Formats: sequence, structure tokens, C-alpha cells
Amino acid sequence: MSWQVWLYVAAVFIPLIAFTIQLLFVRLLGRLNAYLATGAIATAFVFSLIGFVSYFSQTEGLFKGHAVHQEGPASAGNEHAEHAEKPHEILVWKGSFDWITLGNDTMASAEQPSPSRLSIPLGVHIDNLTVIMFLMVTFIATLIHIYSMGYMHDDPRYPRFFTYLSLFCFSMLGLVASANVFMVFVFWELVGVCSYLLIGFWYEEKKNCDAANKAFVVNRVGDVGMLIGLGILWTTFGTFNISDLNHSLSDSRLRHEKNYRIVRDSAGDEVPVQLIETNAKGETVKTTYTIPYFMLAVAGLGVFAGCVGKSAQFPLHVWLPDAMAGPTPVSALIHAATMVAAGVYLVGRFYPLFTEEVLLYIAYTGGITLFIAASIAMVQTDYKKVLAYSTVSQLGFMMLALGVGGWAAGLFHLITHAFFKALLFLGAGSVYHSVHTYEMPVLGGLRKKMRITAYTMLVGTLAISGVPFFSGFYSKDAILAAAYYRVIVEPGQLKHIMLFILPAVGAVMTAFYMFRMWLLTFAGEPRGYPALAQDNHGHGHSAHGHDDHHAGNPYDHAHESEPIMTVPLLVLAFFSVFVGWTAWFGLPVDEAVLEYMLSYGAPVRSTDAWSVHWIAFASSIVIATAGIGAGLAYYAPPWAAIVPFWAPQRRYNVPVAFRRRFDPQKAAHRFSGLYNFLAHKWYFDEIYNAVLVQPTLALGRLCTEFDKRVIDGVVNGSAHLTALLSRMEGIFDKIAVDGLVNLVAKVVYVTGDWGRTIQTGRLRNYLMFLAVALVGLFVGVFAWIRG
Amino acid sequence: MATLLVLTVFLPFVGSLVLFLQPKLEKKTARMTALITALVTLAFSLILTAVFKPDVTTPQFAAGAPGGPYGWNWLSGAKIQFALGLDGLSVWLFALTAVLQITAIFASWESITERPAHHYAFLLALETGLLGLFASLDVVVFYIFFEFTLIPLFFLIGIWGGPERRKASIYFFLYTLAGSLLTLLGVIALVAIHYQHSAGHVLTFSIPELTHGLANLKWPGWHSATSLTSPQVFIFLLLFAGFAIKVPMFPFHTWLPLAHVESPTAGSIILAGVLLKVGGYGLLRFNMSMTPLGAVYLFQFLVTLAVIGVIYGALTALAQTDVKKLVAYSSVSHMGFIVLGLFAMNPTGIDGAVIQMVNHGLTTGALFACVGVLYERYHTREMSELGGLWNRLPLLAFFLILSSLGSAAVPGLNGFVGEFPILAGMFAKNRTAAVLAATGMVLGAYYLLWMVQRVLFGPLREPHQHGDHAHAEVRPVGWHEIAGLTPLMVLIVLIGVLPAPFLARINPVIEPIAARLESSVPTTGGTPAPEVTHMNPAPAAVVARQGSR
Repeated sequence: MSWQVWLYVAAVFIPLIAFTIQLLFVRLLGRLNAYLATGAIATAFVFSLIGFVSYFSQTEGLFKGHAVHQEGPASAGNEHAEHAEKPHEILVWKGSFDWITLGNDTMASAEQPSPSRLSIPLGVHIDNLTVIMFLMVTFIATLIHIYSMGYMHDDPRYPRFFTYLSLFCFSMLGLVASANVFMVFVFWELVGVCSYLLIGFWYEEKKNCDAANKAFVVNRVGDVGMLIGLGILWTTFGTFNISDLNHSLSDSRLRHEKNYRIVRDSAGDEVPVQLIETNAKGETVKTTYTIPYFMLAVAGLGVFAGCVGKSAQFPLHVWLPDAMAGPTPVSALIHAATMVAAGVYLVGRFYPLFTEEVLLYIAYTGGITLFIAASIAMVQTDYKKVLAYSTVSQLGFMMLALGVGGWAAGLFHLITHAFFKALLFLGAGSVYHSVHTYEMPVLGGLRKKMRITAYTMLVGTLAISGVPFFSGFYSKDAILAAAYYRVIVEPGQLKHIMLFILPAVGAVMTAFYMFRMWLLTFAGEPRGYPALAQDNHGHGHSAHGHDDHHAGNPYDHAHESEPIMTVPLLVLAFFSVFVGWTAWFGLPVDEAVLEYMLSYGAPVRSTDAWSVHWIAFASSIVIATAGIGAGLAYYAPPWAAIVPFWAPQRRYNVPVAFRRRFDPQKAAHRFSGLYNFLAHKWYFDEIYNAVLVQPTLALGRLCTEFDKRVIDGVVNGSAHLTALLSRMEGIFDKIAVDGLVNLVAKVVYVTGDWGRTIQTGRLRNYLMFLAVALVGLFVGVFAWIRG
Repeated sequence: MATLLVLTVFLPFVGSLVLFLQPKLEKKTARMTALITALVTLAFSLILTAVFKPDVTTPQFAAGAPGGPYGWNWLSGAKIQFALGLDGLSVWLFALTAVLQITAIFASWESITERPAHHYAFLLALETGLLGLFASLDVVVFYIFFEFTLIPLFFLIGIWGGPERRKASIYFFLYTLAGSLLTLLGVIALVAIHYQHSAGHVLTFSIPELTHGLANLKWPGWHSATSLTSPQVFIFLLLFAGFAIKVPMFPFHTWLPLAHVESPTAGSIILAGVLLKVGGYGLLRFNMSMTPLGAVYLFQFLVTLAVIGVIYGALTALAQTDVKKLVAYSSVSHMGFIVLGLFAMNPTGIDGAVIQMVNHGLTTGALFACVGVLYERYHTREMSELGGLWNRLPLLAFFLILSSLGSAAVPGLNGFVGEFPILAGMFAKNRTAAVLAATGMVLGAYYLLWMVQRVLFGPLREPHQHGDHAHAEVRPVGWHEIAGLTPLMVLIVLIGVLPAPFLARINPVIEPIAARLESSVPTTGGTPAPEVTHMNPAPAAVVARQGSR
């Protein structure tokens, strides 16, 4: 094992060690917990930075990788080409040891490897994707730890908060570094537990606990799907190792020669998969397994079901908006930047598993999710909820990108999104820290008092809206290009045109709701609570329960947050701009640097969407203009005139188009049906409650009744029967049974001195009947054995 | 070592006798006597566990040469040997019994004020019964211990139980007695068949010899299972009756919630933690080992019952308002999982089931101990009367959350180490059953977390019967409660993180059992996969196809 493996193992375990120390010595350490946790994750960050530099200094030809895109498709059907399907062998650091071995090798002899043998190695697998994810997670987590020291400063459970954060960091890093899908599942559940604990961090409020439970249980639903997927893979291939499976499944013989997807036509009904493993002696063993095409698809869907749960995709997206009940740094770290992206990460990591139909399903799931969530985000009045739905929507973009074949595009967006969404959430936290409300209708004009927060959030808003030279632009561009290629350039795929329309429309909506949020919060003049009475936007207000702040104007006590909170904002703003840049100073004439780095390790040869890049670029510009324009038209404070800063006394009138504003309330009123539909989040919670939760609870009560009435009824009935029969005890008493009964009864009587309270008399009858029955049975059985 | 084993088994009984003979002992002296006895027993059993050789499949610490005959002549005329020994199946359950005994004694520490000497005497007697049961190598000795465990528990529930204790103890006694008599019948039939059909008419009551002898019986009728009256199937059902009630499997489970709710905390801990395992242990030791064809023949029926148990138990738990009842029904669900693992009939599933028996003992034992802590303070177990106790009893919150997460099979804790192999094993055997049982995991997370939420989270809510002054004075979690729960917590984490040493001792004995079961599966020639490039065909795919058929 190379030293880098140990470096990454150390980076995973340092937060765990910190967690253990914090847990055991919480009384002793108190507030020092925060420094311990931050120190741990910062060390992990330094380690992953070393790893990052080391990795990309060792990968030759990284920037030549782009040449692959210009190459023609490899000649398929070459019998000698064994696994030459990937552009090139990528650099991987790995190491593992066996954690559990059930069944042993004597059974799994050479002739008959037993499927009932379960060997689970623990291992790390570090490739370019891992290295990049690691750097992103540790970097953002470090910043959020620092920010939290300010944000959570006055919380009585300050030390506990950091304890949970350390556990989360360990689990998340473990998830990223996992070499096999079993470990992914383990850490998957662990991040779920951390999420549960942190959503319910302020457990005094029932709403928060409900949200925590909902998150855990909804995720478990997805996890069952994932377990099914794992079960199929394990029973078929006998391994959980992701890279072995990926390697086998990216075999070009299984794949369509043009679009490189596993298609039934080229793979056949029974898919032969050649698995190459290294056995205990270090020899390479090739085994060909067959799996029905249908089962392969089910396995893919199962694994994807887990990702749907974790990444809050339709129809399991309902938990994420509620999860915002947790402290805002948690929302930024877990429910925006890292954990929820784990589903996308796993789809990317396990990409070769998915057959064509599954990829389409993934793409449509992403498309539907991004549309639903964006539409809901447009009408939320709670700025944190806007960001929550925005996260769901952006995760939908990533899923769609992966589904349409834009492997690097989807993961690229994952990284850029992590930066600007963390920035936006931390900015939202900074606002809440200052005004103690999440309701936008009572805010406004905060830019004057919170300059850093306002303008860093503007950077985030521009990035997510896809404005050129901001990171989000490049990744969204790549997604649109991939979608365009998939449905328009590929022949005969025009029926999936929605896969291009949905992200395009979604991107317009994104720009709209983000500008709406920014303008309502920071622009214009402070509105304050009295305005609430007339403001139709106050709809959801009472539901949010911040009643104690209703007096006065939150603007009055607003203030910029301390440097410990604003410095992370500035750092994140910097990266929200530059992380997506191309080598040409951000000019979109080539793929972004980060996208290169990602596509270097693409597990499957992909189609080249670069050719349609300019079309995507043009549509991106149109989309951003439309969305931002609409946002400004509705929510920007009207410009009366332009006052040049060099001559403040002069005023130039602006054209009427800039002075005129639409009234959002009128629009809401005119389309009140639609507005209510969106404001109620498409009624998902209500439907799930009526269709799933209540029936389950009712079924539970039914079972309880069944227990009481039917099962116990039968038991009591037979007991009565016994009692009835044993009234005839006089007859039996005289016969040979007597001795046996007395023996049993004596035991009862001898100890009965203490047990008098429970001595009922009837017990003796029961026993007697049992004894009689026993004798009868004895006779019967012996007769039967003889015969 | 054989002497040490016998000593370990009977030491609690000696303590029990001492306490019986001194009925007027004070609470303090009585509990100290019990604690010391249990601690020494625990120390002995830990020594045994430590020197237990992992790779040996024959019973260890048994008097007599390996391969038998084991033990000392007891009733030499009937060839009944007094034989004790441990193998991979029993060693962890044996140790679990000794560990949970400590928890049980600490749980009774303050709460038992009425006739304490007798209480501890019964507890210790129960321990001897259970230790002896797991260590028995002779069917008669096994059966005696098996029946003996009923008596102390009957009195524990009947004397120190709740308001409906009479009904509960009678239910418990009759249910289990009725079942165990059928089991006895099955055991006798096994001995008789072995006597009649073995070469040279060997009369033996030794469990290893019977297992081995029955597998190699020269009687063709024994080795086929075509109908319910085939000998293996019929005897399987007789044996099953007793063990299924002990487990308890649906629909024989209704005695369990009642017994738990009425039982004192110590009784619940032992009952759920160890006594239920007797059912699983018996199924594996007798049914699966001695009448494997019966298991194969009845596979559909048994798996259906187990799956129903998993889901039904979970749904019922969901509807409970009493914490203790909820935990009791969760046992029904989790024990369904264990049975499912056993009937996966492959090493993965059975290994998972055996380790899960230990896991379930630890988590459920801990949950009942936590409920006991609650009940002692508030005299209620209604979740509607409780809430927000995290702030009041932070240590209890820690214990309750950790054991709930362990029980909900969160990776890194012990429940996962058992449930994952069970599901994997079952998945290889029968996909539908595994998928259905997996929904039990969702429901399991649901009711456990909901319970945690209702008890610990939300605004503080305490019952009023304490009087207005008492609220500030709720006793914090005491040292004896910490001492009782900490070992369980350590084990919950330890097994979750490092399961290998535990599984390494179970695995060798499971192999032959599973091999016999797998060879009993009627083999239909699966077609090897096309394009075989290595000598390994695709056996997994073949078996999977058989399973899904």
C-alpha cells in the first residue's frame, strides 16, 4: 500500500478519534470540544490537500485526456480488446483487509464457490473522484466548523454540537473513501444517524423531532431498495467491490457501440460479465458470471433507490425541506454540500452498473425532481426553505446529468454546487443570527447593515443562476450540453426531449427564485412586521412559529456578524467564483479545469458532448437572462433614475422598462389555484400521510386488536375447553395418571408457600389435562415409531 | 476445565440455596450475596470464553475424550450421562447469560424491597438453569434444565410482577409447558429411532452422538421427506412446538407481551435477553441439526411464519403506547429475523442468526433495563405521560438512544452485524422473503425512533403523581444502573465494530450444519453459465435462480 492510502485512512480516522475523545471527556473539555473538532477536520483537510497535490502531480496526460473527445469511437467487437474500453488506466491507490468472513474457504473450493460465503473486506479506493470529493468535503467542513464557533456560540449544547459534527465528518469521509458498496452502505447509514441527531438537535420542539424521524425513516425506505440491489449483486457476483464490478461492467462487449450504454440489444437477455479479481495469493482470477438483463436493471434500480433517498429525489424528496429544522451550519454542511450529494456521488461512483433503462429512469427522476422543487421554491416565504428546495432542485440537475450520460458534468455540478450552496446557507445563517427570523416578507434592505453577508450571498446567487464567470455557469452549461446531446444529437432520441426542456425551464426558475430571495431580503427598504398584515406573502408565516419576534422591525437590531462567521463567507464566495473556471481565465472556450480532472477518471467511455457546447452556452445565457430578468421585474425595487457616482447631483431617467414592476401578489391572486398548489408543496406530505403513514398506523392497531381478540381468544377458548374437560378429573384421578399429576402438583405446592397469591386451583387442572394429553401422545408416538 | 464449567453452572445455584435458606436476609445483604455470586460466575464464564479454542468443532470443556462419550455416568442403566460442554453455538449465549445476570441484579438493586432474598434466589436459580441448558450435551440434562427455567421465572413474575401478574405467569407457564412437552416427545422419538435403526442398537442420549448418528442412520425411510408423516418432518414439528413458543414465533407469541409487562425488570431482562434465545438455540441444536429434512420440507411454511412475525411484530409495536409493550413486540419482530436467518440454511444466514441472538439479548436487555430506570422514577410506562426526559436524565438518554440504534441495526453497532448476514443469507435462498423482511427494518427504525422521540425529546413532561415537590428531585441515574448498563453498551459497540472474533468462534460449528442442510436441498441441475473462462461456473446465479423459482 502506498503512503497515500495511509494518508487518507488517517484523514478518515482523525475525526473519529476526535469524536471519541469528545464523547468520553465532554464534561472535562466543555467548550474546548469545538477546537478539537475543528482541529481534527482541519488536519484532515491538510492531509487531503497533500493527497490532492500528490495525485494530480502523478497523473500524466491528465490534460491530454481531452484529446479522447476528438477520437472516433473505438472499433467495437475486437476480440482481443479485453478491457481497453476506458480511455486509459487511471491512477488508483487502494488497500483493504477482511472485516467479516462467514462460511469458510473449505466450502468455497475451486469447483464450487459457495454463494453462501460472505466475506466483507474493509478497504479504501482513492481515485481522482475520491481525491476531489475529499478535498471539497474537508475544506467546506473546516470552514463550517469555524463558522459554527460563531453561530452556535450561545447555545447551551455547544460542545455536543461539535461532537456530532466530528462523527459526521468521519462518516462522510469514510463514505467517500469506501472501496466497496457494503462500506458505502455502512457509512450511508452512519451519516443518516448524524443527520438524525443534528436535525433533532433542538429536540425540545416537536417539529424538529418529527423532521429528524422523517429524515431517518424516509431514508430507510430508500435503503431497503439499496439492500435489494446489494443482495442481487452479491448473490450473482459474490463481491461488493465497486471497482471490480465497474471494471467488469464497463466491458465494451456488453455495450452499445455508439453510445456506450448497456443496451439489451447488444448485451443480450443474459448478460455475461467477466469479473476479474485478485485472490488471496495475489493471482488474477477471471470468472464469467451471467446475470439476466432484467436482474441487472433491478440491481441498478435498487442501488439508485438508496441514492433517491439520500439525495432527496422524487418521490423521496419530502424529508429534506423539513430537515432544515436543524441548525443552519448543519443545513449547509450536511443537507446541502456533502451528505445529500452522496447519492449523486454513489450514482457516479457505480456508474457502469446502470443499464440504458435505468439511466433514463435516473434522468427522468432528476428532471421531475428539479422541476417540482424549483416550482415550490418560487413561492416560499421562508428564505431557508427557498434554499432547501433549491438544493433538492440542484440535486435533480446532477442526477439528470448523470442519467443523460454527462458523468463529469453531474459530478462537476456537485462540486460547484457544494461551494455556492454552502455559501448561501451560511449567509442565510448569518442573516438569521442577526434578525432571528426566516420570513422574507418582514425583511428587506439588509444590505445596508450586513454588507459582507449581502454581497457574498449575491455572489452565490449569481453562481447558482448560471451567470458567466461564476462557477455555476460552467457546470450548468456542461449539464445542458450533455442533455442536448442525449436527446437531440443522438439519433431517434427526440422522444426524450423533456430531458432537455426540464433542466432549461428549471434553470430559468432557479435564477428567478434566487433573485427573488436575494432582493426580498437585502434590497429595497426594511418592511418589518406591521407590513405583514397587508402582505399576502405572510401566508405560511404562522406555521413557522417565530411569534416571539413579532414586535418591531427585525431590521432595527440587525447587525453584521462577527468575523468568525464572515471570513468563511468570503472564502466560500471566492471559490464559488473560481472553482469552475477554465484554464483560459474563465472564458468558455474549453472545458473547465475541474471538469478535466473529473473526466480523467470517467468509468465508462462516454459520448462527447463538447461538440454541442456552444448551443448549451447560448441557451445558458438566454436562461440566465430570462430568469434574472423575471426576478428583477417582480421583486427589484424600482429604479427611478440613475445617479452617477461621479456626479451625485445629476439624475438620468431610465427607460420605462426598468421603472415598471410587476406585482407578485397580483400574480399570486390571479393564479391562486396554482399558487396554493405550489405553496402546499404539491401536497406531497398530505398525500403520503393519507396513503402511507396513516394506513400503516391503522394496520398496527389492527394487528394489536387481532392479537387481543383472535389469538388470545383462541388461547382462552382452549383454556376454557381444558377447564371443562378437567372437571371430569374425578374419573382420571383414580386411574394411573394420579402419580404423574401429583408429581407435577407437588412442585407447585412445595414452592406454593410463596406463590399462594397466584395459586388459583385452575392451574392444577390445566396441568392435569396436559399430563393426560401427554400420556396419550406418548402412546401414539411409540405406536407410530414401532409401525 | 471440565470442572470449571460444572462449577460455573452450579455456582449460582449454590448462591440461590444460600439465599433460600436465609429468607429473612436484609435487602443489602441479599443483593450483595447475589452480586458476588453472579460476578464470580461471570468471571468463570469469561475465563472459559477466553480459553475457548475457535477452530474446534467438537464440544470443549467436556469431561471425556473428544468425540465422546462425554460426561459422567449419571443413570448408568439408562445410559444417561451428566455431560456439559460448550461449542461455538453455545459459548456466546453462555457468556451472554452471565453478563445479563449482572444487569438484572443491578436493575433490581433498589426496586425490589419485598422479600429480596427470595427474589435474588430465584434469579440465581434461573441463571443456573440457563447456563446448564446451553452447556448440556445430553438431551435429558438439556430437558431438565429447560423445564427448570420455567419455575423461577414463574415465581419471579407471579410474586414481584405487576397487577395482572397472575394471568401473566399462568399464561407463560402453560404456553411454554404445553410446547415443551411436545418437544420432550420429539426428543424421545429421536432417541428411540436412533436406538432402533443404528447399527448395533446404540442407546444414547448424548447430543453430539445423536446428531452424528442420526445423520448416518441406515434407514432409508429416515432420509426422505415426502409428507407430513415422514419421520423427520413429524419429529421436526414435535420439536418445533416447544421452541417456536419459546422464540416466540407468530402466532404463539401472545404470552410474551403479557409476561413482559407484568414481569419485574430483572425478569424481563432475562426473559427477553436469554430465555427467548433458548428457542432459537433449540431450533438450531435439535431441529436443524437432527432433522434437517424436516426444515427443508417445511421451508415455505416456516419462512412464511417468520416473515409474518417480523412484520406483524413491528406493526404491533408501532401501535403501542406502553414503552415496555413496545419493546416486547419489537422482540417478536427481531426474533422473527433470527428464525429467518436460521432457515436461510446457509452459513451466512445461520451465522447471522446466532450472532443476532447475542445481539438481541444485549440490545433488548439494555432497553428493558432503561425502561426499568424510567418506571422506578415515574411509575408509569405510558409514553403519553412522558417526554423531554433527555434534559432530566441525560445518561438514560444516552443508554436508550444507543441501544435503540443498536436494535434498529445501525451499522457500527451490533444489530447490523447480525441483520445484514441474515438478510444476505435469506436473499440467496429466497428473495421474496428477504425483501419482505427488509421492510421490517424500515418499521423497526420507525417505532424505535418514535419511541425515543416520545420519551426523550420534546418539551419536558412528567406524570403528576409525584407531587409538586418531587419534580426537582427525580433521582439521577445511579451508579448501580450505570454499572448494569455499561457492559452492555461496550458490547453493543464492540460487536458492531469488531465482529470477527465473535463470528470466528461461531462459524466452524455452523459449517457442518449448513452443509447438511444444503446437501438436503433437492438438487436440480442448474445449467452452468455460458462462456466460462475459468473452472468456476456461476453457482451463485444458479442458486439464485433456484431460490426465485
